[in-house]
Amino acid sequence: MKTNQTVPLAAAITPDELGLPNTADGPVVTPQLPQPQLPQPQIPFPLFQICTKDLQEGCFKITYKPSVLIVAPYYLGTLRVENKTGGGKSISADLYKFPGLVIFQPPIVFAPVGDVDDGSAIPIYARNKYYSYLKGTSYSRPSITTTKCTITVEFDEFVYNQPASGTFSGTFNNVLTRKIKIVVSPTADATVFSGRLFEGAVDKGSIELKWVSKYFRRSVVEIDTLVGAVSPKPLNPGLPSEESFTTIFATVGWRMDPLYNDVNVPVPAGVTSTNCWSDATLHALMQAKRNPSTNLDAEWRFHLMVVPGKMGCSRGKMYDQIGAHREAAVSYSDDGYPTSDSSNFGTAANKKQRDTPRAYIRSAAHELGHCCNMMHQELEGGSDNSIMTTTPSVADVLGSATTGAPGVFPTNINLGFNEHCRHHLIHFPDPVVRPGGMNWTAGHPSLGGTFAPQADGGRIFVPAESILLTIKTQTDRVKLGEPLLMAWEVLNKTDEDFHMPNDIGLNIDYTQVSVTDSDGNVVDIPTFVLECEHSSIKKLLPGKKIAAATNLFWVPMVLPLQNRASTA
Amino acid sequence: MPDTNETWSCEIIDNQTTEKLQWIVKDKAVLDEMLEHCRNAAEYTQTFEIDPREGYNGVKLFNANESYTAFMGELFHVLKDTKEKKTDLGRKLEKMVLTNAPNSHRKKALAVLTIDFD
Repeated sequence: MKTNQTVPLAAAITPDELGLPNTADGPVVTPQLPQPQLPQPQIPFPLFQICTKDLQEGCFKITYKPSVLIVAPYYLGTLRVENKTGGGKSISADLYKFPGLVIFQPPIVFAPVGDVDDGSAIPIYARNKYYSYLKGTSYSRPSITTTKCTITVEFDEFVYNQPASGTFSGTFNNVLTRKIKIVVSPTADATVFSGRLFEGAVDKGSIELKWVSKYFRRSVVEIDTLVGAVSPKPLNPGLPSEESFTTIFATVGWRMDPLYNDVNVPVPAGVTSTNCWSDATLHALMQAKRNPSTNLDAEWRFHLMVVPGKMGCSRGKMYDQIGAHREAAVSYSDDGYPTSDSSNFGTAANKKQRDTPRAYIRSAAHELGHCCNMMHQELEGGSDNSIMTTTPSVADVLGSATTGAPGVFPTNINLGFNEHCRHHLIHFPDPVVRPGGMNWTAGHPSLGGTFAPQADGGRIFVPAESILLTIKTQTDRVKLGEPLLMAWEVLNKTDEDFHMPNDIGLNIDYTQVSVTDSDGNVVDIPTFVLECEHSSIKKLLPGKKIAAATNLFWVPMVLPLQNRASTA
Repeated sequence: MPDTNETWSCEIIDNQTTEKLQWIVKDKAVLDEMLEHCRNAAEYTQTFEIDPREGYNGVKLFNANESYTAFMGELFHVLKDTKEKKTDLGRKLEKMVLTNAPNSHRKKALAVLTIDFD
């Protein structure tokens, strides 16, 4: 393992302030340098600094400029950092590609940051500029370092195959395009991190991350209401107890602003407004009534048409699979909660939606969830009391006052998305969730949709300072061709347990060994066998360690022992 | 399609396709559950009618002499010359038919399940 012996500027901070760790020789002490400082004495220990800055939860704006001498494309985008309950982070990002300019000039696009974080600083880019999705796979941040404080995030990059011009549903290949890594450090601006982007060991260019919002994504929903219909309205608006589209989408970290637009929209010719409407009729009305300045490349704007309808219209529908998908949905104010759908509608039984506000805003938000490519939970994890479970199933989950989950319909409807949908809505690629992007069901191959990558929900990023990784070799010198026994162990340094593979051997592929030769070439050393039936993820208790070993053999591609070996 | 009283088939009713979305129910346990649900279904007491619409219009479970057609909570039972309207509570028959569609009709069934049961 290579040790960097440079002395950082942070040496000016006193050890007491730092709370530096003890060593076998006593506390690490920064020597008091005599005045004048020349000649400078040799410093026996590396000096430490504490790294306090972390990538905070929310949305960062990405600016990535490849390091090439000629004019080349540059990349802008957003990065989402989510702190998971129970520790760790899920990280994902989207990149948009722009043609190179002699003078770098970002093209857009967002309103200036005000005092209130309403998500408006989250940038929106055009769909035809979408380039790739970055799936966070590793995150590390030292708490104490002898060098510069850096944060390293590794990603699997999935390049997007843009659709034909004039269409909007492209594809992702279901294998990653490449692995990349960003290494960034805090700057004088507390919201900005800057650094470099690497592919393997190759520096590919500069990258800047600017935190812009606690929200992960932002969008609006325009609501137009037909004559005779009643739109779903917020409950307790403006109060802490408000229940609305805004609060429902806040449960997934989205800023969703409702725009109550036209009321008394005339009934189109030839349409009976109190029937269930056809998809084509709704789509035509949406196009006619929607704000004519709507530009889905500059704003994520959904549309909700509210019409009367009648009982048996299914309360609402994301009808838009016409042209660009998922721009719009319908809510039927005069449909409701017939007992043929469920015997557990309670006081809402056989009432209309317009007379049942909590259930009504729920079903309208459900349709908006469909617009974001969310599926019925009956088809995924099963029915629950959350937005993307169908209304009758929510009633059945709650049951009656003496059965089912606690509470009754509609009083105890949970006006929030569940964890599964939350993860989708935060970490699906932009084209999957934005209006007019990838087609309906994208990201759900098991439900007939196309593949889309997504950051892992269950991935736990263990902070680097929580573990001690020790790598040992049997000897410092070996003869040419002689195998080298190499062992490594992981110690839980914290007071809490965290989850780790129960086996960190090469044979199970949780550990990779690579060898770097004197020219900087990196060669991965594969295992001879894969043996993974016994593998599982288990708790590593405080103070406990797990270990593994392997024989490192000479391979034709590289002379492994000229330099160093590292595990990752 | 069915030519005996013992052979029951399912159909997805879609007025926007000429494709016959039919199959014979081979899983006896599934068939028994469907038939039990249909035969025990209560009378339909809602005061509204379900009109036909474009595209998906429900499912049908049928043999040579008898059929149950379910859509949006309504369940029509036809046996020779008799007809009755029952309740497909929770749209259970629809869901059972769609979730048990064979691979040849799986895509259509999934499309309905993902968008038509709000």
